[in-house]
Amino acid sequence: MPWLVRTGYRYYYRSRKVLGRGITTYVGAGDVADQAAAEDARRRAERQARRTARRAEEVYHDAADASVHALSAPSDTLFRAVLLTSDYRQHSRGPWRKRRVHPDPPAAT
Amino acid sequence: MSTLTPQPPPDLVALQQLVARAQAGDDSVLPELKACLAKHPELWHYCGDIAQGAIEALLNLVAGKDLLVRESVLLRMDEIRKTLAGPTPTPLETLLIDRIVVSWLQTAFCDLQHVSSSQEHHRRRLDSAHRRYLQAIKALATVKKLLAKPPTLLQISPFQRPEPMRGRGRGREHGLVAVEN
Repeated sequence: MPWLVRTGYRYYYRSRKVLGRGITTYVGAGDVADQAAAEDARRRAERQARRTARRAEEVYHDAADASVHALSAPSDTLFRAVLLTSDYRQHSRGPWRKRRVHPDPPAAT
Repeated sequence: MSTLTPQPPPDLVALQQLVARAQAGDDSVLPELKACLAKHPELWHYCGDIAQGAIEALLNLVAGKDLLVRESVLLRMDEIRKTLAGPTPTPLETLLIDRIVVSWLQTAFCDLQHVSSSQEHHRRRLDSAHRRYLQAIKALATVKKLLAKPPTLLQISPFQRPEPMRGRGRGREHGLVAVEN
């Protein structure tokens, strides 16, 4: 908690992390503490607003991404279907090759 | 936010199963596969509708309410389509060109986002969009290479002869060179 009450007086502290360790810094009391607390609250509200806007934007991005992704599977299916019916085969997920039509073996004499 | 992706037709699942069987080596499904493609042209329309929905969603992101940007992007997309399509594109080529246009738009938008704010999730989106873009281009190139119609006699110039090819392997034929109109 940023506010510490001792002997009837309120003192304002700021906490932050440096190299993974929490460090608490004394800011002050009275008007100085009130101003620091108001500034911190304003910054927190701005960060929250930016985070909310970014999340709202992400929802639209995800929807557009989903619609693009929805095109991949059916178009890929039609692409493969046309090539397969045109006598092409995909060798081991590699290039597409024309099917070889082997001639009938000669009759045994 | 409205759902822009239309419902898939039921024949699409059947087609996917037939394609999977044919790719696994079951040649007996080929006649059924050909019949399925011929009898269900709505499969192509479905993909066209999805592409249109994807373009609308991306245009809303890219242009927002700016009509000038929207029209400029639409003109650029038409230009890309005309460049890739040629005089008589097949339905498959048209579909793959739509896929390229959609992927191009998404890649361009993700690129702008990544440039403006180099965040990790923007970079991941850009990588994914770019990969999809390259796959779409490769698919169209494969179709144009493998399923291109042979040149007609009128297109073959009787006055041009290639230099004799040296070495073994492909390209040893000496013949007339097809010339595009």
